[in-house]
Amino acid sequence: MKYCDVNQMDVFTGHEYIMIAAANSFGKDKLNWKDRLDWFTNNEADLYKDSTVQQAKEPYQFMKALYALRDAREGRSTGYLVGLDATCSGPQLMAAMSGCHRSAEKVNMTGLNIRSDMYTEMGQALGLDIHRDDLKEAIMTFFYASEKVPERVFGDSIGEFYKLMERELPGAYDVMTTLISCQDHINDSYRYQAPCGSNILIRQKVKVVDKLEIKSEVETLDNWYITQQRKEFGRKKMDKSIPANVTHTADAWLVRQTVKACHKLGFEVVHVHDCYFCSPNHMNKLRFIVKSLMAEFSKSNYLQDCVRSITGIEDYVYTKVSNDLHTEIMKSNYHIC
Amino acid sequence: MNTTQQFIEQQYTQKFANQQLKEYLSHSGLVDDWADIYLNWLDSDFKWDVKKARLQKWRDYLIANGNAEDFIIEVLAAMFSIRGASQVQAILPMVSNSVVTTDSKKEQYTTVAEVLNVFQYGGLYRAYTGGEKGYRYVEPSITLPDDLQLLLNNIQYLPPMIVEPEPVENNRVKWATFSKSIFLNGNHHDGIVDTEFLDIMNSTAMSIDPYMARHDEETDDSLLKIRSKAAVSMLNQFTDKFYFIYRYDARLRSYASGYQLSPQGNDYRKAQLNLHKREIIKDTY
Repeated sequence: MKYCDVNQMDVFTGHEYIMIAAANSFGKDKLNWKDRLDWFTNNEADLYKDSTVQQAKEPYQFMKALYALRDAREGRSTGYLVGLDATCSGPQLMAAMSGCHRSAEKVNMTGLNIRSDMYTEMGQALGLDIHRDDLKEAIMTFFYASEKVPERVFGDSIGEFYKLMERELPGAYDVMTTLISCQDHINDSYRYQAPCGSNILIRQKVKVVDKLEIKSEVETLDNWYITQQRKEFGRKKMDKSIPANVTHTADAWLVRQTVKACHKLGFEVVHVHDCYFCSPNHMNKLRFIVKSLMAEFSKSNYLQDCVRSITGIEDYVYTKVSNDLHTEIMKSNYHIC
Repeated sequence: MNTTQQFIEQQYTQKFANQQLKEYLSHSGLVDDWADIYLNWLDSDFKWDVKKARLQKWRDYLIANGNAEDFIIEVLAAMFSIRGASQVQAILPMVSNSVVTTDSKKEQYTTVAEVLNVFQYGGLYRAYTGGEKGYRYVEPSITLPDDLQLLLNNIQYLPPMIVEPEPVENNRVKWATFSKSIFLNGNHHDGIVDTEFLDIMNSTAMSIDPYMARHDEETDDSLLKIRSKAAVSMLNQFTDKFYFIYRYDARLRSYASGYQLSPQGNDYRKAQLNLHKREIIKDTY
């Protein structure tokens, strides 16, 4: 591990990335880089035991990393892929859209060189004993306009939760509410453009229930009454899809640009939306590319452009919290980790 | 295009599976006269004119094209493709598009369900009402040969391509024997869409991790396990590199085609996959 100043990101050798991958698969991905490597080194003698593998959060990928490290150390070539996830990709992109430093800090997009775990921290701030998985589900869906999930998770504390989100991630919160407000302007579909300029057309789907009467009209055969559900394009009574769709479109753009940039540099990337995989030899480059693209994205007027397209209000102006978030994003160390 | 790829695709198509089922059922005499019985039933003096008109039109079409038996086989194949009992609701969408004489989904569903109703005492399956909500179920009464059952189970779960896909043209991604829109679920867009990205992803060669291939997945889903193993075994038989075809949703999020194997699958499925391009992993910066 090469420790860098706050204007750069820490970089690792290929071998170290495999150790980090093993630590992540075991469930140590909330630790900072050094602690993950230390955890691996300090426990390596036990990691190969079946009992340890069984404790891993992702046991198959954990095992795979151990095999890959053995190959790497013994000088055998491998097609092994190390994967790193964006930390709260939805709020990350919303922070970038709003230029909000405070939101960005919560989701590892500033030079504050600590590994934040926003979900756990928000749970602690509320003083509630809620499992991280539930916190994650509630916060993630909250930024995509869900009310039901946060209400289920936070119960009577829902009001405090809303206040906390507004206070701690003000820019991301503002993006979400801005996009929700667009819903009054749409019919059964809406259009906007991805950051690359591609047209996006979202058509709503509604649930249709068909009541089928199956009557063969043969004496020996009984009648069947079947309720069949399906979805078809049409206007929903209540559509809340805009925040998620606008954000996912930005996320997808980031993926496309990353893959193309890495391709030009001569290495291959596989992705699962906001999780990026490549050979451990190239992960330093990939991390740098992803944060560079996120920094570039934060300079754009993507949110304003989307609101104008969706609502038809051509002179709509979205005032960002700041216009210099890109400099902070370029200092980030844990934007994907 | 590579003939092996064509062969693989054929093995996983509905059409091929239906043919195999048809041959098996015909040889065993299990569906003798079913087409005639069905056509006669379609010609019944139904109580309601709307129903009568719908089924008469459908009958005319089946007679004109000589494919009443094919349609029945298609319905049966859909039922057999689900192991054990299945709700009738699960089967109807699998076959409804074959009822081409109406655009009404409700009428299409009804026409498919009627086949299951008419032949419920035909000896191939039994129909019953079950569960708290009184759903209508059908359950095969016969056991198909293992290879035929696997074929039916695999319908719609095409494994990755063993040859590099051709570049996207006219907004379509191409397999060896068919092509599909680059958009999933009937979405479409006007204007320019990024096909360079799809070409890069589609030409990224993948391999099975040699170590993880030795591990079985611990899962309660035995069918998924069988499918995964069959796909890996099939790939090993023909190639050590393969390709996933990617397509977009409405937001331009991209998804790898594949079910038994997928970079976007669960822990086990992710662990199975490597890049085909191998590198010596460095311990330097």
